[in-house]
Amino acid sequence: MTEKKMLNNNQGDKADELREKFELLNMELSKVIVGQKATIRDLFSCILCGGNALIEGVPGLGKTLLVKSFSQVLDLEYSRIQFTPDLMPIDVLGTNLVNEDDQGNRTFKFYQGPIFGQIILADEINRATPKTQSALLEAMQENKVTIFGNEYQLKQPFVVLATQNPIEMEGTYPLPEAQVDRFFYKLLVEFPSTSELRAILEKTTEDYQPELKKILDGPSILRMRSLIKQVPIASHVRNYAINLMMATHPGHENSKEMVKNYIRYGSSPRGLQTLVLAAKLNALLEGRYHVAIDDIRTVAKPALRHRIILSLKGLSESIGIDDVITNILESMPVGD
Amino acid sequence: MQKSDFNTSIQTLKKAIRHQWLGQTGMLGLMTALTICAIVFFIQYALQFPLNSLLVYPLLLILAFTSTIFYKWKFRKRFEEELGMLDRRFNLKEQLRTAYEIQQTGKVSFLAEKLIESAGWSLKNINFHQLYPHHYSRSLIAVCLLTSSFFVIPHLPKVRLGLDYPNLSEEIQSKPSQSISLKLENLAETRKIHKSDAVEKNALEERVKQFSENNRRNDFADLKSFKELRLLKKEVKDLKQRNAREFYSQISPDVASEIPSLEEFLEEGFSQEDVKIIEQELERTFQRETPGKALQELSNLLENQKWEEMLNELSGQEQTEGTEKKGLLQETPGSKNGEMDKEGKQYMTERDYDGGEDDFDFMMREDSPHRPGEKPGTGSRKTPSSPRRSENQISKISGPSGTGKRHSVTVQTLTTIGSAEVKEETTIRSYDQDLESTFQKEQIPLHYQQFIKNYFLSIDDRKKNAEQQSR
Repeated sequence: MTEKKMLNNNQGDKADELREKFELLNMELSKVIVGQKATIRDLFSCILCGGNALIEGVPGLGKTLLVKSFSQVLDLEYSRIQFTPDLMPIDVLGTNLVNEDDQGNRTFKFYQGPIFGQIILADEINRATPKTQSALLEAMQENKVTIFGNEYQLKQPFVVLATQNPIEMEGTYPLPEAQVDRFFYKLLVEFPSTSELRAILEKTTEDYQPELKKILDGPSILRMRSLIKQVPIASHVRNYAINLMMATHPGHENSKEMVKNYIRYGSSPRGLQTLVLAAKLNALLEGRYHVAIDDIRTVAKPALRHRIILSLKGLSESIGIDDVITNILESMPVGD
Repeated sequence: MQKSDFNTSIQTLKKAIRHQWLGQTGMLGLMTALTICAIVFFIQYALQFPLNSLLVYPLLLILAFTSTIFYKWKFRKRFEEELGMLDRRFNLKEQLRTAYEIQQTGKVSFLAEKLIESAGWSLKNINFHQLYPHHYSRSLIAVCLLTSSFFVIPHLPKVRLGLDYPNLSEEIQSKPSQSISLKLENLAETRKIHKSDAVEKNALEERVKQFSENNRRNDFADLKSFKELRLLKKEVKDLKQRNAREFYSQISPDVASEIPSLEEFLEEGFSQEDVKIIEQELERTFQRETPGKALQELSNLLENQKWEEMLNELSGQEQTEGTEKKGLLQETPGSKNGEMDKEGKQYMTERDYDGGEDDFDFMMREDSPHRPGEKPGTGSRKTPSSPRRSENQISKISGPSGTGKRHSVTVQTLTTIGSAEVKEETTIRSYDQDLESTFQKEQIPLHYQQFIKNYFLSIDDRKKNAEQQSR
């Protein structure tokens, strides 16, 4: 009896519930989003693993629509921040304002900013100044904000889904490495195919207004996060992930020629954590109770592409980070 | 399927792997032992190396088995690696290995139990006997051992405790003397036979070979007698060479007046009987066969010696003529050994020449009246490595040789004419390296990088276009 059949024979367990929820979510989102299956799966992974996602794509590919639709199928508080150059940190975090009561007493009262939601859409995040961008750092990493010396815990689950446009570089502020590293995944939204474009036209230029059902709520997501962390991983698979992460460093003894030539800095340890956590969820979605090396390889690109920095030579020769990761993966076959 | 079922399957798998390991090790040990024994046997047979088979071969067997077991044990696969191979073979995506590791560490969770349960099912569906078949069977090993023993035992070297050395020594001395084929009388007839004969090879070689084979069948009890045998064989070789030179002197018309007697043999310790035997054999063999190829070789051998003597004479007198070119030692036509010139093959290169470079010292000495490459009396000095020598110019060295005989030597060397140049690729490569180092050292603004790159690429394109046009 295969492993898949075994799973079906144990209806009602948590792993099955997770997979069923994902399928339902896919069905609901397909009412609005055409194609983008890989992006939806990766975004789902980000939310369930407790990470933040940086979505990159040219204008008009539906990045904002995708995040908005996600907020509709998840029973979570949604807030949107449109990043502009004049956006200030207090616009994101909130601030203390003078409040006068009936007796005429004036006190400071804290008014929460849009960061106090659960799904935060940081639209065009690279248009804000670094000062405003850094206002997100603490929230993304520690799920809390500190304002005027007071700490405020954010509601759980908390996810920042940021979008950015890679081609309009005029008047933008590229995200600093420290902030980019805090994103769980960097997702690249692909241009739709012809058939997908046809479907997009049908859904957007005709009288079609679907209602999206709520599939997952906050407590379910938190429960699933706990389940994901329980997925067993063998030591050799863990070692494979470590070797993969280390292979992105040009100074490492096992790094390949391409890495030595074109990479300035490799992935941080956060990249390794992302690899393993995302691989665990991938295993559950594939119907397995354990992590395989294939899971690590599947999630390698979205998990590492924003954590590897090209050297001057790599930039001048227009080397793609995904090509470098592919080269590393080819040099590290599953059998070794 | 419970956790205990997984344990049972794991135990069964371990047992199958252990059995396969034993089988493979046994077979490998047996093959190694047989191979080593065969090699030792071959060495012993070919080199007549004395070994006591009763002790050596069992020791070799034990050594081979021990080393095989050690090797297999040291490089054996861990059980986790075996599980990993099963995972890959059945596309289980690390299921078995992870389950085994989880079981060993004792981590308890809902998913771990599910995993072990699932791995148990997977293991249950695997037929270990097909995966790890027995590579051995008792009957196969028995047949193998029996066959090898039947093959090896009759060929094992026998140990002889005594050696009739004096008789053997006589035998060794008499055989080469019998095999020397010369006839001292009727030389003209002999020479005709030599020229027309190509049927049988050198009788001398054949007889020595026969002699070696006869001796190889004999066994020697100790190393001393073995060494003595080798010394005797060396004597046979020396004797053969000496007699070959005698043989040449007999058939050469130029030295026909210098027919040596066999007294030389007597001086070297041969008995009258031996000399008689040699004479008889020479007479008998010379009427029958002529080793044409061997004759040629022998003549070359003697010619080398003649040249050596001749050049030594020339060196002593320091009377040289002509110039040095083209790297071939050549005898001029009309000299005493003019036949060599006509045949062409008799030419010797400097490298082949027995005397080596020292024999040409007389050409290069500072105090010589004129050097090779100069005409006598010109006073200009050109070394053989001078780049402006004219090609194909044959120089002669001649002068009185010994008692009135004149010899000349022509030396030709290869010359090179041309000017030095640096390859274009080398220059371009150095430019490339400079460019790379500049890129690495300098912080070039991003806007300029593409411009610079395009510039150098366009240089490359221009170069290619120029090459195409030139073609």
